[in-house]
Parts: sequence; structure tokens; C-alpha cells
Amino acid sequence: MLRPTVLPFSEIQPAPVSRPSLPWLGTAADRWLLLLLLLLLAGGSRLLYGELGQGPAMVDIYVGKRPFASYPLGESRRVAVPGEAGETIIDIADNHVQFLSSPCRGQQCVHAGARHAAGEMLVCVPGRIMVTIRGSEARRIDAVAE
Amino acid sequence: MSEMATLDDHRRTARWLALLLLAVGLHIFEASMPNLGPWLKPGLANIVTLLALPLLGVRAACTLALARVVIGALFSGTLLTPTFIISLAGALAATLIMAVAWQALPMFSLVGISLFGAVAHMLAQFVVVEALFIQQHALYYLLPPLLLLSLLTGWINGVIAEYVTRRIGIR
Repeated sequence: MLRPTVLPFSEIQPAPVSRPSLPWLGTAADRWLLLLLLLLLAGGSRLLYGELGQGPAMVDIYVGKRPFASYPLGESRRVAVPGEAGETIIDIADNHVQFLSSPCRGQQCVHAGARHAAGEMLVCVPGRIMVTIRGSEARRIDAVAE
Repeated sequence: MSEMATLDDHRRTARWLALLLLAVGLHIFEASMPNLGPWLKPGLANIVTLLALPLLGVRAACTLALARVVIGALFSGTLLTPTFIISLAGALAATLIMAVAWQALPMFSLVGISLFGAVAHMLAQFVVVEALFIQQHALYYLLPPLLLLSLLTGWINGVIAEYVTRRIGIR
């Protein structure tokens, strides 16, 4: 059972090998694939997030390959970061961090808004700036907020 | 192979061009849509790549995806910017894995093929962003929620492609 590589045009095409009877359900193989991917994703996230969250809540700022600075999430301050697109302002206030302004064209980092929980992240691709939050206290703040 | 192009050849070319226009249109529509998040797009243009697999075959689907990304970037003014490089990497990875899956795994319908494409698209984008722009492993903390969403949009796109192939007579 091989698929026809190209279907003929002059005649009504033969049916491809796998057609679900109801399109939104997919074939049995489609559903197994979805289940497998979901399980892989769940296992992967556990591994990935397991190492996060030690120590106090900190904001880490990276420019390109290098760490630029780390600040406590609890202390309000405004940081000017020399990104590749120019000077970018990052604001830490009220246990939240956000891009206040950026010289980049898309402004997606500014529109992304504020972040507060461990593992959350803000990125400005043109400026090559990444802001991440880590620490168990950031988690507790999150739990209280919810 | 004869020198003269047959009617079927012309039909193939016309179909390829029609799909390309549809793909470019969806690509631009998506680029101008309100952002749901920095790297979150429903991947509507990928539906056209899915349609090209049964309609035109594997090679035409690959050229279609490549042409769509380049022409779409010309229209949206992002040619050779980071946006372009990221979307090119995503589209190429998705198309290649969908082409291989379409040929080698006949038990999957377009819905399953679309899932392969969605996951490949997201992973390729992360690898490219990590390699070229951000270079921090912490970037991968963003991956799980985005992958979950890409499974959802991938499934929906596959279903749309299934419906369309039915409507245009590939029973």
C-alpha cells in the first residue's frame, strides 16, 4: 500500500490510501500520533521545568550569548539594555517585569506585556535580548496570585 | 519524455500557480493579522502545502512552500530579516517532514501529516532562534506551551485540508 506520488489530472483521481470517515477525527493512526506527541510533550515538560525554581525570585537579562545582569524581581527598577537594535528599556515593578520600549521594528516584545512567574520569559529577537524569571519565590507569588 | 507539453502538464502548472497564489495570500493575511503572541500563528499557509501533496506530489509541494515564503516576504517587506529566516526554516522543515511522512507512512491522513508539519515547524524555529539570535538554552522553557498550541492548530489545519480535498473531488 503505497500512495500514488502524483495523481492523474485527466481522470477522476483514485482515493488516497488513508481517508478518515469523519475528517475532524482523523484516522486511527492520526489519533495515536496525537496521543504519542502529547505524552512526549508532558514527559519533556516535566524534565524541562523540574530544574527551575531554586532560590529567591530573580530576573535574568541576556544580550546575545552573554548574561547581561540579574536583579531581584521584588525590587522596582528600570534598566537600559544595549541590545543589537539599540537601547531597550526593561521595567521591573510590582513583582512583574516587562519591555517598556524597544527600538525594534516589530515591537512584539513590548506588546507581550508583563511576566511574573518562574520559567516565564520575554524575548526581543531583533535586539537579541532575552529576559527570564527563575526562583521558587516567583512560584509562590504565582500561586498566591492565582 | 516528449518535447511537447501535454494538456496535463499545463494543468499541473496552472494548479501549482493557483495554489501558490492561495498560499501567498494566506501568508500575507497571517502576517497582517493581530498577533496572538510573538511566535504564535495558526499556520494557515501550511494548509496549501498539505493540499499540494495529493494534488501535485511531493516535489511540487516543496517548491510551492519555498516560493510562498520568498514571495510572501517580498510583499510583507521582511525579506532577509530575522522574521524571514525564522519563517523559512519553519516552512522548509515542516514541508520536508510532511513530504517524507506522506510518502513513507500511508496510514496517516492529511490530519496526521499536518501534525508532523506543525511540530517540525515549531522545533525548527526554536533551533534557528537559539542558534542565530538568542543563544540561550533557557529559551527552550518556552517550547512546551507553544508545542501544545501547535498540536491544536496542526490538527485543525489537517482537518481543513481533508475537507477541501473532499470538496474538490479527491474522494
